[in-house]
Amino acid sequence: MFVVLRRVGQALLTLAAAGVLVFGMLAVTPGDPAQRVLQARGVLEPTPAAVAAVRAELRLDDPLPVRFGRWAGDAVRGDLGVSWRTGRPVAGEFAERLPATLRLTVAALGLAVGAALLLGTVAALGAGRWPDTLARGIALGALVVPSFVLGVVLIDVVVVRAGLGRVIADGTWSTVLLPAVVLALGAIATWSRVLRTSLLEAGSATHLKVAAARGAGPVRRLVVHQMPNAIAPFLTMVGLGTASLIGGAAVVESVFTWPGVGRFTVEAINARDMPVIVGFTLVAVVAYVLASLAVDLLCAWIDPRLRSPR
Amino acid sequence: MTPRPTLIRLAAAVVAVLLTAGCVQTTGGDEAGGDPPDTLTIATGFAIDDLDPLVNGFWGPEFGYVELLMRPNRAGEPTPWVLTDLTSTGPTTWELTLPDGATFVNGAPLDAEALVDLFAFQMAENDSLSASLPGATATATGPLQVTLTTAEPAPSVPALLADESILPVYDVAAYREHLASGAPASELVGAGIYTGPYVVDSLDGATAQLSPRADHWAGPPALSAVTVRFVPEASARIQAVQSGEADIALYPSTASAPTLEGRDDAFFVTGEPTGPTFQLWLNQQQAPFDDERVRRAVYAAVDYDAIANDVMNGLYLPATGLYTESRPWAEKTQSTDVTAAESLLDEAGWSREGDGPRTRDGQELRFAVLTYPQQPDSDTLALAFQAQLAELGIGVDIRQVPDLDAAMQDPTDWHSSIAGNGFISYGGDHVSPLFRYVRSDGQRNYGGIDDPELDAMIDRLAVELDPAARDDLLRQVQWRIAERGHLAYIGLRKPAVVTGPAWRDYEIEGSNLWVSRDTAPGG
Amino acid sequence: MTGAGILTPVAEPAVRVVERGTGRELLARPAARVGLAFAALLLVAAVAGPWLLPDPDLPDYTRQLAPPGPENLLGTDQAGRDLLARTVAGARSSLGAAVVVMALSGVIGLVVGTVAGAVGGFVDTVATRITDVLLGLPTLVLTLAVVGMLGPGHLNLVLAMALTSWAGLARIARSVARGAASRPDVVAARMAGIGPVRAVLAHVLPGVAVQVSVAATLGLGEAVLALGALSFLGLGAQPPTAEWGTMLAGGRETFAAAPWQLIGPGLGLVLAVAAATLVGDALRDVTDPERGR
Repeated sequence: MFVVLRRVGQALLTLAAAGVLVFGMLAVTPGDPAQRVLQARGVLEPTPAAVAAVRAELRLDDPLPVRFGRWAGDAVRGDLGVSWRTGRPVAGEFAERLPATLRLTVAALGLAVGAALLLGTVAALGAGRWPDTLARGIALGALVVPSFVLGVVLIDVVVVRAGLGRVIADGTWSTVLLPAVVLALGAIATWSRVLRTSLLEAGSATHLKVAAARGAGPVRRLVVHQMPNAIAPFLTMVGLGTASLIGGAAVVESVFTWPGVGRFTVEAINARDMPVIVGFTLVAVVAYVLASLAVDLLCAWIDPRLRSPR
Repeated sequence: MTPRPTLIRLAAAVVAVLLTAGCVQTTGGDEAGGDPPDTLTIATGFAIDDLDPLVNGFWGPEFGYVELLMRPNRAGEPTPWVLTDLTSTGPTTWELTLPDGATFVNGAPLDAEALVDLFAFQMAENDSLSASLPGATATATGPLQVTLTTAEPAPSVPALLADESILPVYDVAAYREHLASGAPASELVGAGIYTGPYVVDSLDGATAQLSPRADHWAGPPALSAVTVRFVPEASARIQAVQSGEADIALYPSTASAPTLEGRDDAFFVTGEPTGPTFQLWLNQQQAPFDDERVRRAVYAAVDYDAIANDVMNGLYLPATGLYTESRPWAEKTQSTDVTAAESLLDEAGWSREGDGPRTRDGQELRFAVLTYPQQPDSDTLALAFQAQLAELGIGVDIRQVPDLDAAMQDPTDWHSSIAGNGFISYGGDHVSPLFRYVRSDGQRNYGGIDDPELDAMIDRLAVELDPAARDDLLRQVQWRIAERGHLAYIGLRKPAVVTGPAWRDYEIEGSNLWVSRDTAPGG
Repeated sequence: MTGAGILTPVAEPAVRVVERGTGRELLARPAARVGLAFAALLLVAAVAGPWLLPDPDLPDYTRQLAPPGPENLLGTDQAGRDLLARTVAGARSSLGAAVVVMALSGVIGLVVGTVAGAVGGFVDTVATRITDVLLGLPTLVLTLAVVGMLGPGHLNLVLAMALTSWAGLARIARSVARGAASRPDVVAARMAGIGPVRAVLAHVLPGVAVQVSVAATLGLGEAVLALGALSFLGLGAQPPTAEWGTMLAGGRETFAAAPWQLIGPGLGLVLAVAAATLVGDALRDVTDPERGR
């Protein structure tokens, strides 16, 4: 129990540090925020009066710590401010697009975990022989092909030419396959390689040699003995990688016109829409912290060695 | 240790996700041959945020759910749209006549009273209107007659009434109620405050769904449904047409035209241009363009013909001046003359030895041209511009900026730019752009033009009611701008859309009026 | 023992130490040889290309979207520019930007890590916490955030990436520096009266720098990929710069009719990432502390 509390405390600490970091970046952004708010709203030549009004509206003249306190308080309550570009609450804009992003990330996560388990296991079982070479080759291929290049090719070949799938993805499960595959590739490559290594390391343990001597077959040894030992680092990797998936989603969503948070953020960057950019960073950070927390707790549950001594 | 249940759970989860992700059927929209479709799906690059007439009313006329009093017609005079007649009854008075029995979608009548109310409300809320017609008033002179009285003679009234961002027709009473209720703008969907032949039934960040209005004052519309999809990526819009997900893609880039040649799933359809599209600005507030001769030399060095025919493969027309040649008052002020350009540069002290760069006092003649990603053609034009000026020994660097207007605000931070701006207002007015772009106090006079003589000409033009005298003044203005090297157009893009097979006869009306009551496949 | 957490990520591999002889062992591995060959190919192209090829920025409107052939080995783009020349020029700008990114983050990481490892105590704790938080957060998200603050542009993108990718290098530097600080020769030097700063500069820094540069070099592949992706989205290099991501974005609309536009920049990216991955993998195997199979 103490471990859990301690771990939750760590997560909160990271969140707080990330919050300070994000707000700090916002504070040092060059240029007058009021000016940029007006420009993002399409006012090209704001009068000094208009700038002053926006400064007052956003209470930009308060001291920095006061502004940070207000910003953090709002963020904790789920208020991420108002998009400078659309004039609507950022939280609302995200809520509208989050389901699509989650759908994409979850599908990619599922694909990545499944494929990585398969490739990693095959490679470990046949270490040094052709299944290993093949699996590692696939992983290397998945790693080196840039997702946005693959996305462009897939849309043209699969969607436009072969007539499968849709160009204007509507963010539902029926159109998720292609973008999810593209998004999953990098993770498949990394995760399968990690799994292979940890399976092999677990395989060199003494008790496995004993098990082998007692006649346990390679598959049985793998499932019963190696996997439980190798799964913790794998799961940790998956937890950490989930947040990178969200970052990668920004690229993949833009290529596939997936109506998610990432694509919205890329548009916001081009319009210098700061609240959206900051909001996206915060959402990604929270997702990351939660994912790693969940994975840690899961690992502790699976692997008793990670529990604290009573 | 309980490894097995854990693994099984894990495996089950993986399988479940793989099944949902992998085994769902994916289908493209398939357009069955045979009967022409009676629905239309348009992919556009810009999202419509809401139906608020003050904020986003201008999108309405383009997609058929809002109407204007006059129909913009950039090729000539505006013609009556909702109005049945607009007559000038004196130097400062206009009579507006409404059709019999016209109603808003919510059932309220569009009569003289509603129009007077609308005009007064827009005068108070719309800066463009109150700035264009200061002190103007509207009074009902009959059940369907309204008299508009302006403080000064205003020849531009028909063009103003045809401007999508000045006077969209909507039910002010209902809109006031909406404002008073404090409800969000999204509540305006279904409120029926407009008069258009199509009605927006639903609107979100990705799609607007429109249905026809059977009781429209001019008769029922041709289509059973119109869908507008918001797709910011130009290539995705075209691919959506190719895959059958959209019938028409708006704002295709010129670069995509050659890729559609010889295909039967998408067609690059062009229309008649209403005016030149890309301004070539030279910033007079800085060297080298503070010298009139250098500006004129650059404008004379551009090969307008090559840009239209070689660079843009005929999807552009050569720019010959500030207006299209079809305008009665248009003057051909732009022509390529490399010899003249060279002697102007020599005269200005920028000399050249052999094939080297042009220099003055040891300094190279080199400047940057700004382009911007929202108009990819600006990069294509800049590249050709760079190559053409290189032949004269002028170095050009291309600099893409995220926000062109913002970049040109600083008078000392840029030399030249390629900016997509027209020279005739949306409603067909040619005076207000002169005020905006080339008058010394113009809001978008980026180049810092400061020419008192030109200012005086523009001021006289603005109040001239006699057509002959007005046209004559306008010709003088064009020559003045050209002779002083104030501004030129580098390209004239033909308006274009990409359509699917069923819509390949679609006619582009200009003025961005994509959907009208009679819009149907086959033209 | 606590659960593996973001403050102590277990997935982070132990620091592999490059020693004398590592290079020879590396060259004995076929995968590493292939990777190094890719890297050499890119390097030669980037350095020698401009002398052998036409001007990458010169349009030729008589040859728009020409397919690959004897005149243009990789074809031309929509302005008739030679794609081979542009790919090679792109190698200079893409790889060059990645080198700058890794050099900048290498310097930041080196300074932070060495100071933390050599000084220890409170400084170390603070530096380590910051490093761990940064290391935990997804780099691409942070880069997007910083680009958002600075505004799109090639220089801004390079800065943003440098600012967000130094944490891993700092960790390596700290670990090596800590090991070095307790080495007999350093301890002896300190006992002989040499000041802490000089001791670090003379005895600790060189070793740390070697390890950090190796790690930074291996990070080039990922940097090239991220730079390309963000430039592709219009957040980095802008047209008409010949940069791989920008070239791919420019060719996207005409891709269906002229797919050869993908070959050059696509292959460049693949080669760069493959080179870094193959060499990195081999290096990991060679320097594996538990090696002995």
